[in-house]
Amino acid sequence: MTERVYTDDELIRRVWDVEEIKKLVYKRGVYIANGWQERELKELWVSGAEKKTAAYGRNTGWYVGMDAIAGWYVKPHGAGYMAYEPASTGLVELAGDGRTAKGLFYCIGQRTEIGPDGTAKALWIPHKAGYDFIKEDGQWKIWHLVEAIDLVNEAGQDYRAQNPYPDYENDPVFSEFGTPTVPCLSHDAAFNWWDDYPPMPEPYDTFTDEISYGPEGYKPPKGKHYGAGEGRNYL
Amino acid sequence: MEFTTEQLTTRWEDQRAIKNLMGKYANLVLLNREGEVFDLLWSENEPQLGFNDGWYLGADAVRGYYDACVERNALVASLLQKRFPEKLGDKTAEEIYGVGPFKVEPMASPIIEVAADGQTAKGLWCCQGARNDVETCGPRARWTWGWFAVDFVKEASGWRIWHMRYEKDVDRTCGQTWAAPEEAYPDLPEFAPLGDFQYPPYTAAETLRVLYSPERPLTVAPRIPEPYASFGETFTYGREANAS
Repeated sequence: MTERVYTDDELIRRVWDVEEIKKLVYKRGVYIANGWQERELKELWVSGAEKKTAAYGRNTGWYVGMDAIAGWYVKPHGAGYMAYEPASTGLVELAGDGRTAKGLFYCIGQRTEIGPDGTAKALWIPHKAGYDFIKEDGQWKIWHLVEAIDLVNEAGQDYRAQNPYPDYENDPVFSEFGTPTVPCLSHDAAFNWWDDYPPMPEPYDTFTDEISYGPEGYKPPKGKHYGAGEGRNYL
Repeated sequence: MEFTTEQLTTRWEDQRAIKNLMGKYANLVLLNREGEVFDLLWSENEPQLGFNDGWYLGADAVRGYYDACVERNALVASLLQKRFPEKLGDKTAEEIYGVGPFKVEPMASPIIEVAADGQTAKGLWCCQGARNDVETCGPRARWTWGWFAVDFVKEASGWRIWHMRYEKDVDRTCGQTWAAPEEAYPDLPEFAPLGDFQYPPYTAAETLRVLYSPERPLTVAPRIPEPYASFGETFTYGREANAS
């Protein structure tokens, strides 16, 4: 990594860049609570040249491009909707060149909605969220996001009474993700965080695809795991 | 708005002081030291404290709310002393104060805007809290999720809370879903005196927020703070002047 020397003014502006990036993530939590997914994509995500390379991933792959992201993410919400996604444990690395940044957060998520049967279901959805950010016209925007869900558990239910292994095809939280642009089991929650994806960001000078939280930066974990054919009895 | 290096540094320190202020608030509540909250953290200049169903307006009313919290904490301790004489029977009221309530109000995801003039600030926090306390049914743990929306004012002694809304979406017994009616627990006679306890009446009883139920219309969080020059140019988290 290039060793850069910053002036006092550059240093305080870098401090504020990190503050603004964290604020962007926290605002996203409010937008989700408000059911403002369409506004979120319009106001908090990239809108310039990187619209085509924007990516939104979950455990089973990525949607690439803002149109594809909007296609699955934007849904109407009404009575009975409530969602909490407060981001905590912010770990932010601002590029040496100051043009991009990476962040990793943990979120004790919760979502409550009226299901197809007309009853409300309250779910705990704890997850890691890895972000790439880019500055557009002086404003920080979300460029790539991958949410690696640990667990989907109905509130008030005993964890032990539920299937301990994620059901990516039938669990509504996973199945709602549909068939993304780039299908890929990037984080298999059956093995906790053994696969270490998304990984912690490290200091860097200039963004490259190699470190992206989009699909181009994904690297299969080394060694044994579900995808390596060890099956779900690995442990 | 453009700021100099020195101004940016001061503004960062202001933001840190405001985060610390809310950290102190959460810790004082956790320690059952509500009796110190007003003098340590609040402005005496027309403070306003709002909950889901009403406002305490003015210094006497806001202080009165925290005094009532202390009074309830003391009542809980005395009832637990009677219930567990072998553990607490030989203690003074001062020694047992704080036994029972365990109120966690973690302040997460802060969105803070300090006015360009540096005299006021606004902040919004998401709070996935837990109120573990004694009720007429005995000890009960509740999820208490909501939003702290706060206006701050800079005084000679530093940053102070000016207007605060604590609006909850969830106040539900842990282990029960909040998507269905709450299951009641039977009252226990040893904790019956808690049924007679009342917080002071609101200065203005009005609905700021309705707790979640499947029938509740989509309910948005308190407004996100926006950059502003001086307080007169932004909105207030206090009670609107034209509120009924």
